[in-house]
Amino acid sequence: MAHTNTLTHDDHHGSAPHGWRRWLLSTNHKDIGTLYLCFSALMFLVGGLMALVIRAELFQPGLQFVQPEFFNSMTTMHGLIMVFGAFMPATTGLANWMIPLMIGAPDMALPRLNNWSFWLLPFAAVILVSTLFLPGGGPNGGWTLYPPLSTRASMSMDFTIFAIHILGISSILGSINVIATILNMRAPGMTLMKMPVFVWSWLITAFLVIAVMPVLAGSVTMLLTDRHFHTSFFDAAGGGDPVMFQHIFWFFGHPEVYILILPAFGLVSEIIPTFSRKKIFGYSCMVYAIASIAVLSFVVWAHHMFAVGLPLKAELFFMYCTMLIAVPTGVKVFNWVTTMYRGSLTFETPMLFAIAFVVLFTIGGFSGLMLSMVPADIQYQDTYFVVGHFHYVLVPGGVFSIIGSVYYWLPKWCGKMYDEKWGKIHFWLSLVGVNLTFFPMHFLGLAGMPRRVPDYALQFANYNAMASVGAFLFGFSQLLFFYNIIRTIRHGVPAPAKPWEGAEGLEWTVPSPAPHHTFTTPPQIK
Amino acid sequence: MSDSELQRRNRTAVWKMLWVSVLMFGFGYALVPLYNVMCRKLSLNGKTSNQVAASSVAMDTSRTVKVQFITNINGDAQARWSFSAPLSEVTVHPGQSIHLEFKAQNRSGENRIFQAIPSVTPSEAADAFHKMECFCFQQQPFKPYQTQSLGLTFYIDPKLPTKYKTMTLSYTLYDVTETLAKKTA
Repeated sequence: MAHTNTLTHDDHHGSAPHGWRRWLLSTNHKDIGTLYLCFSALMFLVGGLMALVIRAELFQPGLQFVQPEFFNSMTTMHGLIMVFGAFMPATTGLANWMIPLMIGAPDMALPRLNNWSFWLLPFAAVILVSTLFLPGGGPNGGWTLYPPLSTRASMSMDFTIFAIHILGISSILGSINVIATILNMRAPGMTLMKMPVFVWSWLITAFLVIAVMPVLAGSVTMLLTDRHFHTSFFDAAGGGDPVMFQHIFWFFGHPEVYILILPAFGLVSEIIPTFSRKKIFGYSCMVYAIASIAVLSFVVWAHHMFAVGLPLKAELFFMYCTMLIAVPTGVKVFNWVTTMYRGSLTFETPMLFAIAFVVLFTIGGFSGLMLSMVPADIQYQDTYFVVGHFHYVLVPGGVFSIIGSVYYWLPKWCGKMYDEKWGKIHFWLSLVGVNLTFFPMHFLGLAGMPRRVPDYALQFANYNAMASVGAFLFGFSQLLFFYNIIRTIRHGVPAPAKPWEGAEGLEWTVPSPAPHHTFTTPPQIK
Repeated sequence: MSDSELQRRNRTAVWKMLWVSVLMFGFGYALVPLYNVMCRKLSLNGKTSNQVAASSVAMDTSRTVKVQFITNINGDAQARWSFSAPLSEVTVHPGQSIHLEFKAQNRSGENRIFQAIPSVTPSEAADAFHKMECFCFQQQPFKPYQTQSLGLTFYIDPKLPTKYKTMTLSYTLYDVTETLAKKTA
């Protein structure tokens, strides 16, 4: 693989565009990665603001701040924006930045496609957020878009459907790029089983995206034709079946939750070995565990719909398959813990976030096991227990791993070291905030508080007040995160090429900040 | 690997992945007929057959099955319709054919059409519910304030497993006037 000038960049001959043209026309994986991460940060703030509207309303029983319709559109939009606007672009941004650096490639395989898949996102986000200002308000039937609420919703649903189409196209193109990069662009000697776990996790995630995002596109297209072109896919009066939407949606939806969490697994698998000063325990087990989680994700979708009236045999099948996922996930948790076991641990900010990930994600995993049991699920479904469960896996799970990896690679990205003291303050405030927000939700759910309602019975008041205080604490401590990043870029101490003593991997062999072009001559891997 | 070789391999990868995406989009649609087949084979959602059943089967007088009737009106159509079963339950022998007259009234001052959709619980028993005549086979047009009797003739298949002693037949009335108007417009 003796190519030195593989990719014909627009900016390859020292005439890189400056100003806004640098970003709009960029084909550089680092610039596009930065764009993805900034976009995701913005969406994280928008979605977070919506979460705070929800928590402010739920601080006390009764209606204080918003009308029920607006409350419902807040829960719906919060879900859609966090999943498609904040989470997926964040992991795609990390993939853009780090995968070429980690496998010794000069850039992504398809730089122009990369540019396009990013620039679709802002348009989709504008369409999605603009629905809030349309007559009838934003979509308010929940992010799962179940009919008949979605087939009868106002015109904002049409805009939501188009936004989902565009977001889907963007993530499919991004994933194609990741797959082509990983399969074709590895440096000589970088065999598949030598790739960092993060690269592996993204390779598998990208296959999941390509397999299920089109199914989501199909299901929302059916909604669209049901709404406007007289089809009756989900209309019982015309011979359709609203439950079928749930099957198709969750056929996408369950792999989707692994699209969110598998890259997080990869990120944590990079951070923990570095600060334990050991190689990751059971590398091949980790790879096979990710692969088997991905395969199993296709046969468990109906555990999201145990209460719709499935036959007993189907409920048992989906229940056992769901429980089976705990095995590879348990392998991963075991390996993270074993990596730390007898390592020379230090507790820099990325490591703190990674350890919190392992502990809190496991709590979310356990509540998931409780929900996997059909008789228990029929009791818990549509209560705050479910809300507590998936926020535990996504916020202190997914979001913490992304925040941790931003601290981890920030010295590489901007060449400056963040301030450890402020990083740790951010961590501890987030940790307290996140647990104060989401832990009481388990109790609320077990006591029977339903989700997606703006008002509740008096006996739920105390835990709701706690959760709201925690949400505001968590939300505002994220401002500290952005303050830390800006402070690092402006006033940080210059960072060495390898700021972490125990770090391994190709990304630490290039200078900090990583120059615009890296690995134009591929490195040799022993 | 040379530049052109890499370009070729990237191009192949892109086309393959795009094909997978298109196929999976199609697969989403293929889930629709697949779902209907699965519902039938696994007795998933209590749908009964829309076929007119053959009339004569041998009666099994050794046991009885209780059949309960429920009527629902979907959503805001409740303001415009009333819909009721002649009795709440009937005890039959498997194979015995029963005729019932349901009643519906259009309480609005305009011509309206409804479609009734049946559903049987437990869903595993739905296949054993045979209709020789049913108002749910067609859409039912009503004049303003008109009341009509709606005939249903059914029998329970003697092959119904003996563990099912009670089954519930639920009809939901859907007002399809607007949908039909949109379709023809």
